[in-house]
Amino acid sequence: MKVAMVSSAHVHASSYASILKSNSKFEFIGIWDDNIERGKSFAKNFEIPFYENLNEMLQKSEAVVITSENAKHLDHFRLVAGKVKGVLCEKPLATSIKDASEMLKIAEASSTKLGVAFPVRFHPVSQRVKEIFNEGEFGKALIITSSNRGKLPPGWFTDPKLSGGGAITDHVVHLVDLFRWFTENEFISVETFLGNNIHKDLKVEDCAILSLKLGDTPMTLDCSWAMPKSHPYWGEVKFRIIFEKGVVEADVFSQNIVFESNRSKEVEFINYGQNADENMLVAFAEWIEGIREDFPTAIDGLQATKVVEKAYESIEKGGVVVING
Amino acid sequence: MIRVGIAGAGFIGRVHAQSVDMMDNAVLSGIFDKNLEAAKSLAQLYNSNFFETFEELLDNSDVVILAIPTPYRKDFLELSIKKGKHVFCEKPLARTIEEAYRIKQIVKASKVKFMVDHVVRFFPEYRKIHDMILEGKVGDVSEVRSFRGGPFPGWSNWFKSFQKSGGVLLDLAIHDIDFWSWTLGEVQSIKAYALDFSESIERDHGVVIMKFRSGAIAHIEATWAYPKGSAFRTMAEVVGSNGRAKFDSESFNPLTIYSKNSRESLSPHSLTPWGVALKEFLKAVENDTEVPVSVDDGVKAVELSLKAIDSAKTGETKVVKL
Repeated sequence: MKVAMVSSAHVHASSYASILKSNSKFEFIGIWDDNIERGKSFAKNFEIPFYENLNEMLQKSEAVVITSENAKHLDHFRLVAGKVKGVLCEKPLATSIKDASEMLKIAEASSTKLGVAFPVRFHPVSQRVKEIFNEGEFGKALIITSSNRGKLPPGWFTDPKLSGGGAITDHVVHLVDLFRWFTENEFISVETFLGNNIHKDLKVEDCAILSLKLGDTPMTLDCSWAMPKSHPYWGEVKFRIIFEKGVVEADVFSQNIVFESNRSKEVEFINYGQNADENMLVAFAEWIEGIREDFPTAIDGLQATKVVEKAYESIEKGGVVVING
Repeated sequence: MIRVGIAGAGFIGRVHAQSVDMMDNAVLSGIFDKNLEAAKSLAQLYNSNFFETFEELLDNSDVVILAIPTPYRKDFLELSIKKGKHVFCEKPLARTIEEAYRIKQIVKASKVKFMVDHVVRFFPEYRKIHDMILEGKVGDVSEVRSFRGGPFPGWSNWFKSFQKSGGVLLDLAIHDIDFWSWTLGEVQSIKAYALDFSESIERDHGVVIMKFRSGAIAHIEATWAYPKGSAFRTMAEVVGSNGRAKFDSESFNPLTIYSKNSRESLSPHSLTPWGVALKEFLKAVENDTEVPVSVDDGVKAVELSLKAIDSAKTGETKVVKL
């Protein structure tokens, strides 16, 4: 599949680019970026063409991956909708319910399928847990705790105009999407508990725990940028599910070799688990080709965005805020 | 579709049946086991056939997986090759060096594809360590250490017999002996310890120290000494001029499932290491390309493991000739 990239702003752009480059399923057409300097250096890095003219690139492409700043997703989707068969938009789909709904509307009115990058679904650990839910032998999930914590991300991630917010915007959507997919339920309400900011000079929040209702199941979600600089890995996706007839504990990205370096004098985790991004990109291509039915869509992106917006509303108003009545 | 038959419906035969089931290009043609009930029940699990004789299994298969106890491998292999069938063989390749050499001779004289299932090479954590070493990430390798094992393999009786299984050094330590010699090259000398060379082994612990021609040293522990119910655990560590790389199956828990009376720890991948190994073999069969683990590799692993036994029995350090 001929795939091009729109913007290299997001930290995940490099991961997707190396997969598009190395996996034989893909032909990597090139990149367009509204920041020409950034785009050119990215293109050079991956030895792919840089396009100053977006439409010229789209004419050669079947699908596009949008990895721009969160707040630009809507505008960039507008530019490509109707011109390619499929778009994979980096999470979160948008920074507001309004924008996410608009994207869904555009997608539905055009010939372009809009998917959202929720790679955690595509990790073999998650796939196994999904089977446990589908088999149903453990009964109902009674209570869920979860955390998706990471290091402080660089650059625009902490500029609210471009990112839409801090750790809540960045991390909540992954586990929200995962558990919507696991349980096939919607989130009913949210209450946000903010901690003192860990990084004192930020304009956005970086420490928060959400108390959620998923259907009638209580769930907690820690989305903090809590990992210190010396932590050997980017972060974690962990959860514990207390079922009626059992317990499941997962630490999704923990298949790691520990490497203690003499050169950098640092400890590094080197993951040997399956590349969830790669599984996701292949699934995306199959979804666009029509040989696969399930893939996170704009509807899933909108639902996750709803939870985020309502989590901020809870901070403003205090207390429990209804998400889906 | 490649028709794959399995000889041996024990613990590892079941693992292979699951692998065959996961292949896109293969179908399980049937199971043979001298214990007919075992063959029948495994065959039923996968809606497959069971055969009363190995010959019938061969006649219905393009590839056979030899998942039978070590001492029977040579005879089964000879029959398979006579009928022109490709063979995927469990480790260790043979119980004695004479049998190993004979197998090599038969395989080399034939046109069939033959692979020894040194499955540790296909575990992603070991593969990552291997790649890191070959890519120079850890620098010049000084020492490696590894650990493997848990309780005595209680699922089958023949492990108890040193004459049949070769004990913990030939049956279990061979995984690490193969892995490190695949990764670090030629071995110069071997010193080893083990506790029991009898016909009624109930518990044993093997220790192997290998010196490589590269200058690196290896410390390997393989154990059947832990109490019943202990988890099977693996660890590997490599120390080089650039640093140290390691993993311990106990320290990372991607997925733990607690159900009534059980606790199951899983490290899920899309395909199990046994599945990956079989897939690679079937690829070589389909495309007539080289197998990833050759008969020479199998012979070498047996040779080194038997040297370890020799050292453990005599107390001497054994030199390995090139």
